[in-house]
Amino acid sequence: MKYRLLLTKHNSGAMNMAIDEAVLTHVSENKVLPTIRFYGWEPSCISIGYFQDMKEEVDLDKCKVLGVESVRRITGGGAVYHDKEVTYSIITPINTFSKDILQSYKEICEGVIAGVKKLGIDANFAPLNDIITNGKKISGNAQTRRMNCILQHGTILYDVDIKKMFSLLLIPNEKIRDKMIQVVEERVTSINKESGKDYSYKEVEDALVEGFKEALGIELELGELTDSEKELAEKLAAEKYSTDEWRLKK
Amino acid sequence: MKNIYKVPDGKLLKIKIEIQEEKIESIRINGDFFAYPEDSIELIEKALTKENFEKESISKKVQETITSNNLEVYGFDNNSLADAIMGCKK
Repeated sequence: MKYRLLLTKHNSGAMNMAIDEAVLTHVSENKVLPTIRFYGWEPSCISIGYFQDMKEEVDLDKCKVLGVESVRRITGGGAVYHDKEVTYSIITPINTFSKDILQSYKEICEGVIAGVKKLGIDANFAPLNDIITNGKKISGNAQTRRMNCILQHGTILYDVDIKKMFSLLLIPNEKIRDKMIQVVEERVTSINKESGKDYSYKEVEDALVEGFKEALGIELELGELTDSEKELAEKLAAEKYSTDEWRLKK
Repeated sequence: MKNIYKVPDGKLLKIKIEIQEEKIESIRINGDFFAYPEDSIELIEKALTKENFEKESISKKVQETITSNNLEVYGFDNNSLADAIMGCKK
């Protein structure tokens, strides 16, 4: 099976989510090939899950001070601080992967697992939606099924600053902030921490491209967003993802 | 009233609820769970409106809604959601 490969580098949170949706729309209308995209976040950004309440999860004042953006995803799951990481999204007709949702998460996550293996890290899928190495989380993933397609996106951390992450997230009880940081530090890791190396965005991206190609047994054709996708993405970024109506929806 | 409830081996549920005369007047279910399709949660919230504020009937209603609409939820089930909702009563 042939996929289009998009390497869209760093964009704002609203634009990243808008591109995913624009590509989803175009894949569902058969206007473009199924697509795998790798991307980063600039400025850094907190994304929250579709079912979360932004004002309950994110310290928006603190974000403003530190220049960190915030956006709601169309996928479920939790709040993620996107900083030093490579994010992937795969958008493909629904019958490409297992009908069983858990199984399809696993099938797609094999691409990430094969990718980080190229960087010397042995990782495993941990249901429902995590990838772990040495018992610690190195990647979180989230999937939605819409328009007869699967959209799954996920993050692969190459560096992580848990204290900064926590300073941006609201915690029900401030007294347990330090304890929570400690617990998360024991449970979350990154490619650089595990490998003891200092991989760049590009090196991680390259490894993931190869990993997806091999694990999914697919052909990747480097491409670009079409004009129609760009136009829709700009519209969605402006009229949906950056609006308070969407961001602060309860 | 509200409650934050960590489902054992599951995700975090955040419930906001209004009760009138022992019945659910309105309810919002937030959290870091997954639901397919995503409007499943609105269906469950609607189904619970006017339902008795009582664990058994909530649990039953949630399961009926999941089954009859072919919903798939991950991170909680009908019983843990009912526990989260009843936890609002403190």
